[in-house]
Order: sequence, then structure tokens, then C-alpha cells
Amino acid sequence: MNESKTDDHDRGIELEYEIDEPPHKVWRAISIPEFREKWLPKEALADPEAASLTPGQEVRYRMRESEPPFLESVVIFRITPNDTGGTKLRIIHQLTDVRFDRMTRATANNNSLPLMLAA
Amino acid sequence: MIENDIFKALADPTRCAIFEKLATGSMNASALRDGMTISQPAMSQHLSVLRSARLVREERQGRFVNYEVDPEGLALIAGWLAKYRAYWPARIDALKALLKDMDQ
Repeated sequence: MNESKTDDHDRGIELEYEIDEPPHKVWRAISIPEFREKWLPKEALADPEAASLTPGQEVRYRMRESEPPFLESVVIFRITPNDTGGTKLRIIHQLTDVRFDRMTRATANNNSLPLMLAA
Repeated sequence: MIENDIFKALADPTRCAIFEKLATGSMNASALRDGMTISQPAMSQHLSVLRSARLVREERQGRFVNYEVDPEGLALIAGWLAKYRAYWPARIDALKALLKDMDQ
């Protein structure tokens, strides 16, 4: 159960975890609301229902901070079987807040932070 | 990558303290040094790093310079990233605990 990789991307966070439990079990824990609530409480979510879902593979939730500045984001949980019968869980968490878009647009316009353009 | 600049800028505990101090309101470099054991050149250096990461901006008023958290800048994102980088490992620990309790 090790965190194997950590990356920061243009507009968010990507994390990858190896979990000893099999994918079908991890899938239930991340997709069934009663289970999801036990480790990812609805207070963190803009909507406790999944925004989209590919059974057994990927589920996506819209998130909103519970305190100012209430930035909005989307988190994707993607699971794949690993070589040892366990599960590789990938978390892709991206800012979708309009304020962030405005900021990157402003940045793109003045060209002073070209590295943000990829966002 | 901008985020890396932000984290590099805030990885230093002194800079992190300076940033947090400025988050309470704008002030000049000598007010910033109050209560901190840090030389003036070192403070300038730290402020320069914070400025290039767009966490802090400077505002000139005549011969005085005030520093403040850059409200239009990336401070918002820096805060968000820092929060969730700590958040997810804790959530995953909770997920693993749940998985142990689940039947199959």
C-alpha cells in the first residue's frame, strides 16, 4: 500500500496509490454513496452524486471547498488491476473554478507566465 | 511549472512564515522583520522569491514599499494545492481503513 507517484499538473493534482484490495472491492468503496461517505464525506462535495461513472473503472465527483474561497474542482478516481491482485488507484483532481479560468486567461493575455498556457 | 515555483517558494519555513504574515495584511519589509531573526538582505531575498512565484506583490508609495499577498495572482491556487496535497493522503488512509472493514 504505497504511494508510488506524485505529480502536479497544470491545474491540479495527480496521485497514484497501490492498494492491496481487489479492484471490485475498491470500486464499491469509491462508487457506493454509503461507503464513499465513510472516507470522503459529502461536505467536501458540491454534489454527493457522481458527476459521471464508468462502472468498475472510473468515477468523477464535483467538489467544492466548505470554506472561503469555495473553489470548485472535479476529482476523478480511476482504478485498474495491478500485477499482484490489488488495485492501482489514480486520483486526478483539477480546479474547474471560473476564477481559476479567468486567472489563466489573464496570464495568457499578458504572456508573462507562458508555463500556464498549457492549462 | 508555476505550481513548482509556488511550492519551492513556500517550502522554506521562513518564506512560508513571511507569506503567512502578509496574509494578515500588507506591510513594509522592516515591519515584516519584527519578531523574526532575519537580516535585511535575507528578507529582501525571500521577498524576491515570493514575488517571482507571484505569491506576493510590492506596492510603492513614494519612497516606501509595502508588500502584500498578490490577490490576482496564484496565491489562490497555491492555497488550494497545499490544502489538497495534504487532504488526499488523509482520505486514502480513511479509504484503506474502510476497505479493511468491508466484507469482500
